[in-house]
Parts: sequence; structure tokens; C-alpha cells
Amino acid sequence: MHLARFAVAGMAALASGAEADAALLPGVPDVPAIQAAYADAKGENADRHLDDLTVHSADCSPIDAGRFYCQISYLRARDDAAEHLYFTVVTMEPGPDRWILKSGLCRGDGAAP
Amino acid sequence: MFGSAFPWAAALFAPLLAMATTAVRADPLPEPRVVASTGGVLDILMVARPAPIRTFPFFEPTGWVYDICPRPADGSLSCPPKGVAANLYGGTRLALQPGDLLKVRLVNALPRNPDAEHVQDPGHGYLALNPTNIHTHGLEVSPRFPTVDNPTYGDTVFVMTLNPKNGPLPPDAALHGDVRIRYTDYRIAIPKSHPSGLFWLHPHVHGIAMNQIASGLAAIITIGDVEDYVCKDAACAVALGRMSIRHMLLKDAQVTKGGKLKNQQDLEFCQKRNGPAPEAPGRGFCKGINLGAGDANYIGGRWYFSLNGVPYPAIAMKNAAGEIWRITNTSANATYNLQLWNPKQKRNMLFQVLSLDGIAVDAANAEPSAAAASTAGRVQAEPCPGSPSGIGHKALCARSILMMPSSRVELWVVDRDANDKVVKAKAGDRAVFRTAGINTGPLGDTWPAIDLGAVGFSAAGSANLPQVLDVAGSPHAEIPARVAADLASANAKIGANADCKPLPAGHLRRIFYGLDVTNTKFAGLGYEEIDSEGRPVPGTFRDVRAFDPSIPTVCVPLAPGNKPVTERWQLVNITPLDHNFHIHQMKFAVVGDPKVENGSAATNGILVDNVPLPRADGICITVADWRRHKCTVHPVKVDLPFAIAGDFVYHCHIMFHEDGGMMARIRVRASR
Repeated sequence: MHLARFAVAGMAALASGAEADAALLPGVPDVPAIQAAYADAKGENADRHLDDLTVHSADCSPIDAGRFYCQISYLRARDDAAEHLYFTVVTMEPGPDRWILKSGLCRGDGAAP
Repeated sequence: MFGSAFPWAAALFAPLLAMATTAVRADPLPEPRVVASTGGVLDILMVARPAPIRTFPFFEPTGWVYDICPRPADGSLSCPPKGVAANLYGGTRLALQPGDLLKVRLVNALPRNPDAEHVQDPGHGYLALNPTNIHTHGLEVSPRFPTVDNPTYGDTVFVMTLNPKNGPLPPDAALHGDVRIRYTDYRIAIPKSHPSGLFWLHPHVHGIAMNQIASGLAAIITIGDVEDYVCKDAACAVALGRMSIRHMLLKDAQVTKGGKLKNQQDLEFCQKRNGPAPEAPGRGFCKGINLGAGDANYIGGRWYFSLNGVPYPAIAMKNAAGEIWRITNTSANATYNLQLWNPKQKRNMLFQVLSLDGIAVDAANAEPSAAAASTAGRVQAEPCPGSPSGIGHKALCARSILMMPSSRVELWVVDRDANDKVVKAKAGDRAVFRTAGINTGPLGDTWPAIDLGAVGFSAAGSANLPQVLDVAGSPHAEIPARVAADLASANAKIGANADCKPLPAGHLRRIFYGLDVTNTKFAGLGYEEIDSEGRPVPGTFRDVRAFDPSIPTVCVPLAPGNKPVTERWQLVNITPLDHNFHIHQMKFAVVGDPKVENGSAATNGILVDNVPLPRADGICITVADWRRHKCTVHPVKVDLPFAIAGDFVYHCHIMFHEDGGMMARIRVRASR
């Protein structure tokens, strides 16, 4: 676990009931959830998101109030560096029925030139 | 020692203690800690963290250090505690051999740094979180990115590691590459053919690299041993066996009167730009001056210039055969002009130059008369006196070495008579190792003159001493092809790129150093291609702009079969201050000798990985001004043998300038 301290903070938040909204969702965002959230974000603003991004792995730890901070890796289909595996961090927030990508993976942030 | 706890007391007693410290006997120069590879692997945990600097007289500021240890088997992200006397600030040496695998788990345990200048830049507020990374400076290794099969990094600067204690990344951060939390794993394969020599390691996060280096983050790397390229001759080897080999990290730190290390360095801390110099060089430090009210009043503070963290140590030799000094300028910004002052002879002593930037001088081809040009003035070389015919007859000697940031040099330092001949020292023979003051232009910086160490020669041992040491490293012209062959697999994995076109025969690339006029806070680099007639190729000009990590300025395909390809670049500094040029993943030759202007410069005898770029005369704000002859430039031509595929950077290694935008991304791809 990368983020032991965040995990401790998250457990405290859970104990206080601050995670109520997240109860509708799986406890921790996973690869499919982040991929889906990315697709949603791309649908809202295609210019700032890549077409060929596939989330490969995710390791999430709670921040507060149901939000998670995730170390993810991803692949891109169009890349002349074969099998280049990118790493970045995203912030995920629970919505009514699915996870929402709140930060990270934006085109132009340098993470995916 | 009480500066940080009782700043008022520190200020009160500063004058008294300054007098006292100049009178006390100098502390001995310690060697950096050594962590060596075994069985072809060096697997280390490297924790970037704060630590007290206890080697400075008077103050005990907190610096940032690399705490390095063998990687713990239990997966721990901290090294075993060190004793109070541990000199982590003084640096660690990673001792590697050609063909080794360097495995590093870099842990970020640094504090937030909200005072860094570029935290204020749009999209760069996240720099206050103090992310970090590493670059193995000078190593000819792959800058590869992770893959599914190998999710570790090569020597790339396009990744940074966050300390989660410092908070999450804010939305819309203008990132420069990958982001990792808490730690990052690197696996850096050293080619079997890698030249033996002296290299180093430092952080390279654009915008705060200066702050982190100025706080102390640096380590040195040695590949192989000095014996790999010095004294292959048996008689010479006997003398070499009697010499001590010292490693010296030139480090500087600005400490305010309150005892705090100032990592947003003020380059006028001790002396106003072009202002009067102190009457005499300081011993290991210069005193702060008052540049104005508030934060710019440095009275009571000190700018330390240390060797391995110790200001003005005693360098006591143990044998008349002298010593090999392996020197690395690990300062973020400081330029040194190294000299060895002989108080009896009242002149600077001669020393033999064995290598520059980790590459042994090629004694078979190095002509002292051409060496100054071949290093763009770094070495004002002269013949070594008393050289026998045969070995070493082209050995290089000098009385001063210009060391801009990141430079390395290896010297043979031994006592000499008034005719510069090597002699057995007499008891009491001494010298002062110093940097002469230097100014880098009307709008540049004024680097103070500092006495760096007190040298005592030894009368012990045999009087049978060589006049020169034989130097025979890797043949320079063969290095790129050998490295490319060793890295064939890594190069092939990078793949080809249809947009990557070879530079036409006879063409060269011109790199401009200037200001980004779209935002005068920033400096930057520009570009154009030049044809064989010396004319700019239409459509290739890119005006000077600050670093943009998403846009490679140059794309270079390797030659068929992924063989090396050599390009000639012209480096044009249009600013009224000196810069230097450094490019990752390779060594290059300066085309300074007219004899090689139309041939290969790789036979000059000297290869480097950074070169000074002299300032322009007159004032040019833009490239257009230069084309209108508003200033006179002093271009430097270099031959760059590209042998390693990947994405990396070239930049000014004055980190104040690099963080300010003087950097560009280059892409090298496999041949199609």
C-alpha cells in the first residue's frame, strides 16, 4: 500500500460516517471505474482528453469524504515507444451511481504529450 | 551549532565567531560515503529527506540529503539511522563497474517548499509539494520509459515522485511527465563498454531543480577505477599505487543570519553584480551583504563553499607521489575557477588534467595547443614539463580549470619546483586550493573568490617520481558505436517514428539561448536548421521560448541498423551573460580546432558533456536583433554522436536558468 497515511485518514473518515455517499459504490475505485470515469470526462470535453488511453492499473487510497487519490498506469494505442506504460495520479469522487474523475489525465498537463 | 535554535545569539556573536573560525585549525577533508556494487548489481534505497548540516562552522542549517543504503529486504522505505556524526550532506559515492545494473528506489521524504520562485508560475503551484526525481548526469544509458513487462524507469527526467505527506496534486497542474506517489523505481543498465570515469546524480524536476540541488541533493557516481585509464605503464602504476585518490564534491549553501538554508539562491548574496570584491578571499565562505530592506539583507549570513560539506578543510597528502583529485561541481549555479596557489612561489601551481566530464583525455590525440579551443576555454592547457618521450608526451597540464555547474575534472596534484617539474616535497610545502572570483557578464553573475582548502604536501615515500602520468582511456571515436551495440535491445524497443527525419548532409542545427519575449520572466531556447551554405532552412525557425515538455524541438533518427549518427550543432548565445550547454545521454566534442572544422571533432582528444557558451557583446533581446547585428555572438560548434534512443533534454546547467526555461526536449528514435 503506497499511501498508508491516507489510508489511516480514510479509516477515520469512515468511522465518522463521512463516507455515506460512497456507500452506493464499490468501496474503492478500480480500473474499470476509472476507465469509465475517464470516458465520461472525455464525453464532456473531448478536446482535453485523449482517444486512445487505456487504464492499466490503479492503486487508490482515501483522502476524505469518499474521495480517493489513485496512482494509476495507462497505455496509449498510438505511441512510437512500444508498450510505453505511463504513470500518473487521479482524484476520484463518488457520484450518485458512478465514480467521477475530478483531476488528472487532462491533455496538456504534460503527462501524456 | 546554535544558529538555528537561537538566531538572536547567532547574530550577536557572528563577528566574534567569524574571527575565531579563521584562526582554528582546519578540519580534515572526509571522503564521501561509498556504496559499491557487488556481483554486477547495485540495489539501493535512496531517500531524499531533510537533515542537519553539522559540518559548517557557526551555523547548523537543515539541508536536504540523499540517505542511501542497500535496499532493505523487508520493503522498508527508510534507511537505518545514521550516527550524529554522519555527513550525509557531504555526499555519497555510488561505485559501479561497466556492465553493472543500477537499481534505485527513490523515496521522496522532502518537506513542502512553498517559497520556491516557480511555485508562482501558472499551473505550477504543485511545485510547492516538492516533487523530486533523479538524473544520472553524464552516464551514457537509456532514458527509457516503463513498460508493462518492466514498470521501472531508465534515466529519464519525465517523471516525478510526490511525498504524500505534502498533500495531493491540485487539479489542472501543468505536469512535465509521469507522476508517482512516495517512491519510484529506476533500473539503469550501465553498458559494458561504458567509459570508466566520474559522473554524478541530481534531481531534475523543472522549476525546482535549483532549489533541491542548492539544498544539498547530489551524489557522485564512479564507473570503473582510475587504473582503467591512468598508468597502464608499469613504472607509472607503481607511482599511482602510492597516491591517494580523493573525491571532492564542490557544494555551496547560502545560510541566512537566522541559520536557515536559503534554497532560492540570491546570486548577489555576498557581492553585488559587478560590485567590488572583498579584499581577500574567504576561507570556505563569504559574508552576506545588505542588498536592501527585508529579505534581501544578508548581513550576518554566510554563503558556504565547501568540499564534501566541509568549508576550508585540510587536505593532507600522505605520499610525495601526490594525489588524484576527482572533482565534481555539484553546485546548482556556481561557477568555479579552480587554482592551486603556491604561497612560496607566489603563483598558481601546474597540475595534470587526466579527464574531463568522466572521459579520460586521449593522450594520443590531445594537443595542448588545441585543448583550450576543444573545451571552449574550460582548460587553458599547456604542455607538462619534463615529459619523457613515449608515454604521456601529449599530456595536458593547466594552472586553472573553469568549472561551470555539473563539470567534472580529474587532476594529478603533486609538488612542483619553480620550473614546474615534479619534485619530492619538503616538509612544510603547502598550497591553497581556491576558486578565483569570476564574472559571467554585465548582466551575469559575480562568483566570489573563495579559498576552498589548505593543501599540505608530503615528504614521505620515494623520490623516484614520474613527470607525467600516462592516460589511455576508451578510444573516443569508438565509444558511440560500442554503446549503441550494448544498448541495441533498448534502442530497438523505442521504435521508429515517421516524422523523424535525418539532418541532410552538410546541414547543422542552430540552438539559440535567449529570452522568451512572450513572458519576460522566462528564458528559453530557440532553433533553426542551417543548410550547407550557412543559410537558415525556411520553415525551421522556432523563436526562443521557455521549456515546453510536450513538444520535442528536435527529432533525430539513428542511422540504419540503429548505428550512431553524428550531428553538428551551433550554439548561439545572444544574451549578455554566460551560459553553458549540457545534453543528456551522450558526450560530445567541441569543434574548436580549425583542423577538424570540416571533419570529425571526435579526434580532438577531449570529450565533454557540458561546455561554456560565452556571452554576446552588445544587447540583443531577440533573434531578430541578432540578425540585425545589434550584438556580436561567439558561437560554439559541437559534434554530437547520437547513439541512444529515447526522449531526453538539453539545457543550460546553471539551474537558475534551466528552471527559468532554458531547456528543450529532444527525441531520438530507432532507424526505420
